[in-house]
Amino acid sequence: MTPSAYNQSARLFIEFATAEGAVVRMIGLVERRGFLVRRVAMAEQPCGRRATLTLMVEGRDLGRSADTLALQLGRLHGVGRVETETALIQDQAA
Amino acid sequence: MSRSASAVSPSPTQRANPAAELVSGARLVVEALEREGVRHVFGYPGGAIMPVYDALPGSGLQHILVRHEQAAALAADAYGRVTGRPGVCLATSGPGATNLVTGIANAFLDSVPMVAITGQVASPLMGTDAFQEVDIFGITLPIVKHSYLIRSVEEIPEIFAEAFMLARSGRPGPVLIDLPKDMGQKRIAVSGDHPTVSAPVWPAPNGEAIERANALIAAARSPVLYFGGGVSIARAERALRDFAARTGIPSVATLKGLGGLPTDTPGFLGMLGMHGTRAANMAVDESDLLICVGARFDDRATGKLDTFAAKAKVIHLDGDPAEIGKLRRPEVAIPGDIARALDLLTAVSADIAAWQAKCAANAERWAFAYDAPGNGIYAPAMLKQLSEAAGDKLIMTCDVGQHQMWVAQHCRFTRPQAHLTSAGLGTMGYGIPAGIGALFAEPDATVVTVSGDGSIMMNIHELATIRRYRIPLKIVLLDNGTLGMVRQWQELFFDENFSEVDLSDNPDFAEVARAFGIEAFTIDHRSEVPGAIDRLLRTEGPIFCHVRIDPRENVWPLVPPNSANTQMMEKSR
Repeated sequence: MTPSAYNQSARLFIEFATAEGAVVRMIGLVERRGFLVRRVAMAEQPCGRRATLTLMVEGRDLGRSADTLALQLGRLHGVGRVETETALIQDQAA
Repeated sequence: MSRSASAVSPSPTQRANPAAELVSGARLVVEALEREGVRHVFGYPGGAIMPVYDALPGSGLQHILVRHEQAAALAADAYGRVTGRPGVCLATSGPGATNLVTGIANAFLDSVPMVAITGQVASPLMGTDAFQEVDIFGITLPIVKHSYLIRSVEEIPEIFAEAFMLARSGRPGPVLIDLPKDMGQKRIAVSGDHPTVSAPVWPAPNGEAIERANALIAAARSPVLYFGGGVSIARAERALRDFAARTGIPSVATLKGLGGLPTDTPGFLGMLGMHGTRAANMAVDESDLLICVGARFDDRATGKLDTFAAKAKVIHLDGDPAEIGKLRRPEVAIPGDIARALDLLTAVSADIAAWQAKCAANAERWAFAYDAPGNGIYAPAMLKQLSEAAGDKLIMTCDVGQHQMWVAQHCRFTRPQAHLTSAGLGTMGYGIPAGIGALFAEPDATVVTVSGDGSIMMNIHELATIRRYRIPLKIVLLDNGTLGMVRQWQELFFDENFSEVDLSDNPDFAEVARAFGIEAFTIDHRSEVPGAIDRLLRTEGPIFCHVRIDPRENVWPLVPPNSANTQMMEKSR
C-alpha cells in the first residue's frame, strides 16, 4: 500500500494567549481544514494569560497535511508555538 | 513572520490620571480611527451603534451612508485593495452585522485589509436573546483574520491599534470589532497618551533556498513565471517586473494577479486556468520549472491538480508560509518578503530562446478573435476598447459571471489595483459598491464598473449612494437577459436543461438608473460602441450605459470541471 492510502493523524501542542474566543477559533480552524478532533486537553499557565491546548486530530481524507494545519494555526493572532507529532492511519476507503 | 516583533504597549487609559477628562467609549473609537489615518467610513446606523454615530459629527472622518450594510463592507474592501490601508465599515447589531458578513468573507478570501466595527446589545443583555442580538463574533470566526469583543472601555485604544496593525500586516485580512452599546456610552478618564503597536516583520529570505532557486532557474529550459494576488499584497510589482525583464521567462497570471505585469509586457501570456488563454495553459503544461510568486494553486487556476505543471519543478515564493506546500509541494520554498526574494533571484536561464519563441508564437496563434459575426454588440470587443481608451488611470471593478471573465481576459491593466474583482468568494453584487469604494480611495481615477443583469440587482440600490455623493462612477451593464454563466454551464454540462436562469423580465435598466437621478442610455448595435465609450469617458458625473447583448454568447476557452487545463473547450470558429 502506498503512503497516500493513509490518513494523517497528529497530536498538536499549541501555546496561545488566552483571549475571548481563542479556543473556539483554533478548534474551528482545525475542523474547517478537514480534520476530525478526537481529543482535547487544555492547561492554563499560572499567569492566566497563556495556555496550552493539546489536540488529537485525524484527517478526514487523504491529502490533509498536519504540517500545513500547524502553519495555519500558527498564523492565528495570539498563537505562539505549534508542535506536531504525526502518525499515519490506514484509510478505510483505500 | 516573527511574532516577537509584534507588541502592544500598555494602554495609557489604564493608568490613573486625576487630571484626565471624561471621554465616552464611542469618542475613543472615533479618536482611534483618526489616529490610524482613517478618512472614510462606509456604514449604516442603527440602535446599538448609535453612540458611535453620535460621536461622528465634528470628527475628521467622512461617513458614507450606503443603503445596505453589505455595500458598506464591499466598498471598504475595494478601498482597502486600492490604498493598501484597511477599509472601514460600520454597522449596528443583529441584521446590520449579519449584512456585513458577505463583505467580510469577500475580504477574507482575497486577503484584503479591512476593519469592520459592529454595534452589539449592551453587555448585561448579551446572551439573553435581546432585540437585534446576534453573536457576530462567533458568526464571523471563520472569515476574519482576528476579532475582538470589547469588554471594557479602557481596552478600546489598544484594541483598535492592534486591529489595524493586524488587518494590514503580513497577509492582510478583515478584523472585526464588536462594540456593546454600553461600552460606547460609558465615560472614562483618559490621559493624552496613545498606544503604539509595532507590526511584525518578514524574515529575510533564506540564503540557501535562494541559492537552490537560482540553480534551478539557471538550468531550466522551459520555465514559467506564475504569479497571483500575493504580488500586490506585498507591493512587489516593481520586483516582479524587474525579474520578468531580467530573465525573460514567459509569464502567466491568476485572476487576482492581473496587472502585476502590464498586459502588454513581452512574454506575458495572460490569465491561466479555467477561463485562461490557451497559450498560458499550454506553457504551464510544458514547463520544466514553475516559479510561483504570491499564488496558491487555487483550483480555478490549476484545473485537475495532479495534471497541473506535472513535469515541472516548483519554486514557491509567498508571504504566507502556510500557503507553501498546501496543495503542491515545491522543490524550493521561499516564505517571507516576496520583493526581497525576487531581487535575489538573479540567475538567468541560459538556453530559453527557443522556449520564448514558442510561447510567443502560441500567443499569436491562439490570440482572441474580435471579429464576431453580426451587428450585435460583442462584449469582449467593447470591453477591450473601453479599457484601452480609458488609459492608465483606469480602475475597473466587476461583478461575478461571464462579464467578470471577459474583463479578465480582454481588458488592459497596468497595475493590480486597476482590476478589482471578487476572486475568491465570487460575490455577485461586488461591482457597484467596489466602484464607490475605489473612487473614495482614488478620486482622480477613471473608475468603471462592469456588471451583468444578474449581479447588478444584488446591490442596485447603491445607485442612490452614487447620486447622493455625486460619485463619478461609470457603469457598464452587460444585459443578456439571463444568468449567463449558469446558463452556459447548463448548456454545456447539464444537457441544456435551463433551470431558473431566465431574466428576460428585467426592468428597463436605463429607466431605473434615471429614476435614481443618474444619466443613462441604452445601446444594442455594434456601431454605437465607439460613441458610447466616448460618452462614458467624457461624462464628468455618474453615468450608466445599458448594453444589450446576445444571451447565447459564452465565455471561451473553458476548462471543464475536474479536467486538466490542456483539455480546454474552445469556441467553434
